[in-house]
Amino acid sequence: MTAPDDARLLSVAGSISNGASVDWDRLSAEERDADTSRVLRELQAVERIVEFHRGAEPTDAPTAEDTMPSDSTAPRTWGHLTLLERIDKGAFGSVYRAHDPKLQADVALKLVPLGEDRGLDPSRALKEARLLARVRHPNVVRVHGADVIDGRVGIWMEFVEGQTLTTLLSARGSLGPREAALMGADLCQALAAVHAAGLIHGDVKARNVMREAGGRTVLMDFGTGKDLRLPPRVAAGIDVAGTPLYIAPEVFRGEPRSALSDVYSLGVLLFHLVTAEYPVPGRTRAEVEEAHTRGAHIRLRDRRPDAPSAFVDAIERAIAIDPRERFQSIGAFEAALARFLGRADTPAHAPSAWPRWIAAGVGVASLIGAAYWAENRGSKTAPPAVTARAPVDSGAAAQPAVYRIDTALYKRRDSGETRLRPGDRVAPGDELFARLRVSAPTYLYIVNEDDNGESFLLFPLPGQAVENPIAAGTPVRVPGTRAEDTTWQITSAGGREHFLIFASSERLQAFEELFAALPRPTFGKPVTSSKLSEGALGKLRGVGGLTAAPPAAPGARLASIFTSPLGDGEETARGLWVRQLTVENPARP
Amino acid sequence: MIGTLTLTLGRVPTMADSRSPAGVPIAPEGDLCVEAESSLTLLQRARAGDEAARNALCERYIPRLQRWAHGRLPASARGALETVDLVQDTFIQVLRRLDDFEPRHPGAFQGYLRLTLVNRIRDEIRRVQHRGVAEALDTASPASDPSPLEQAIGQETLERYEAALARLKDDDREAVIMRAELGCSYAEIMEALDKPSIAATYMTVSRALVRLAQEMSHDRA
Repeated sequence: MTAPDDARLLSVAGSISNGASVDWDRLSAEERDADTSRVLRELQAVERIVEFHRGAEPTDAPTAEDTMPSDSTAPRTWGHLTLLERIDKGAFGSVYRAHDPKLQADVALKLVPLGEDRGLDPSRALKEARLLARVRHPNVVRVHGADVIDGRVGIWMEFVEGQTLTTLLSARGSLGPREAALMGADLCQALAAVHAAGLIHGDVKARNVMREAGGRTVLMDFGTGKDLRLPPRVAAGIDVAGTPLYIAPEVFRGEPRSALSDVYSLGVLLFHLVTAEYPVPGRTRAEVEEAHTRGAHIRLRDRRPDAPSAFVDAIERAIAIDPRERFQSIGAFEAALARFLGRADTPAHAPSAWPRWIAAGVGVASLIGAAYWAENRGSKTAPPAVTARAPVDSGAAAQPAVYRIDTALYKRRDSGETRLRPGDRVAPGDELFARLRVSAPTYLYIVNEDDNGESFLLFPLPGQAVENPIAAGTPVRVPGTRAEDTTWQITSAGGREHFLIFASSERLQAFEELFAALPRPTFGKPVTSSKLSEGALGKLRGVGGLTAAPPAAPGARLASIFTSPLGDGEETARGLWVRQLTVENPARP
Repeated sequence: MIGTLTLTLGRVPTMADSRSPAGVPIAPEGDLCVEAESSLTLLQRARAGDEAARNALCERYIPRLQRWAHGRLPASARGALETVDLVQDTFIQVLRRLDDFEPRHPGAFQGYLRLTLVNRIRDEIRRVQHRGVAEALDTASPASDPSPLEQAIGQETLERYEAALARLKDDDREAVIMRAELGCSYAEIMEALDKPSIAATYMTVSRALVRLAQEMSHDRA
């Protein structure tokens, strides 16, 4: 049983209440406690209820049409199953969440209508489903059964709660080599079990892989699975599905799918996970096929110069044009990934003290944190403890990019603008904004904190014209440019105001998660403030590379952690760059 | 006093509010969650027979309630029953029954009025839906189609949400309804629930949402 005071749940609830985005993919993937996972799942439902009432379309939620079997052709029951909601819809039918009273559990039901020239032979589909039911592996979705009822072929299987890798990628951006290799190793084992059952998958792609709440990687959707034991020409005759970007070149040439074409597809998937691109690009099947014909092939090394060679070599071999040059079994592919992971798995300091839910974000951030420490070597609060802390992607421990940054805060009053410098005064009625110019795409975060530790997020804000990453080369004004005079306005006085400006060449997942709990200004609405918890401050200290992430001392403030003052003029930065500007906001100016 | 920033398109009047450490400006009018004393004054005038005050109250409260009710009514019921009528009738009935209500503080009136309205409209929607089912048995037409909210989140989720909401303590339920359904600001919720600060209200809302999710998870299990 989770407590209502669970800090993490409260943080998520606060974000929902504030309309801030929540990284559900990562939360669900990294949550280990079953009770908390269930509550998180319900909080996600609550978020949709809140969004509905706010009149905002959920950005990453299925539309009403997609979630309910409410169209006139959709059944409410199918056989002994009760349909609860539609969770996916594709060219070959729909997938529903359904309740199985016999199993006393929810299941995923894939329904494919017959008689619409879908190239589906019901007897063959049933045979495939029965073959799939033979596969028993934790990384393969468990098939419970199949039948033809009411003109629909249905296959019902384990209901996996989580996110597809497509969703994961869109939410988090490309993954690091190590995380991709870990998923790849799981998928190799899944495919090995499929191949051992005499089947090939035939449609390995990001959308067909789920990352379950709890972190399990599950291979899904055997809609085009093929029986390896069938004569090749029969199998080739129904090769109508599959995403061209993942299809092996020999399949384009008319050869049947095989275990080696599954190796190719998995290689493409891992390439895609670390680059968000495909090795042989194209917008249509014809374009991809033509690219294969002329040998157009993006090299992984060109896209990820930071990736370890062992990883690059494994992927390039998996996606070799000539099937004879590929790994000759999925097991050989897994062994290559394991060798890479074996090297990457032995960092000097494992991040065992870190909660798993933040570890993924800290991976990049702690790398950057090391650079932060390096450039702040003179700071009295900068012991080198964390510089050796192993990030998640230690195998890809490239130096963060160098970039130039020039930023300043301005006060506007009575139509005049004044650049703010440390110790300057502000007063209620003053309108503030920042100007920024960076030499490379940069992620920017600005937090305001007062002497009581009350803080809120000033940037990034939803609905603004300026978003992260900040574009390189052109002057940018924040908050946003939705209207000419968008500003942060001071509405009351007392004490000092600390502005913490964080910039990074990489997105700071950990920061975003921690800052998600902070209130932020909205147009015409009152602003509330709150304190970052001591636990969160401890994490930030770790992220900043300053401590080994113990709980922050009572009364600790962001302003007391990140003390480098904002100066005049352009600076050269590597990785994370943090500056503080403190101004006076006395009760009687 | 804590300096607070407000993102604004123009100039937001600065005000000092002794109960609000954030110096929160008054919410814009036309919102369901409006400044408390003003509504109380209007109510007193309405009770005394002031038609203008009654109209002013209607103008202030009804648009938001209509939007709320619209999301709760299935399309067939929206067709059969004007949402506007439903909300206005309910509102007038609630006003008539307020004669004996003595608020402990201005915010209490806000909370009472809002919760009574929302609950009565919920009852009314249930009544309409049941009538729809009875008619459907005779006419063999579809019984009840999903409301926009039901379409958005699914029937099962909506049922779990409503059941969990009903099991929450009054303050938690009020906090959830005000924030999640009616979009009230923390300052308004602070007034309604008589909380000491914005920060405390923020925690009240967050805890209420967590308790709600916990209750919902029990139903799923």
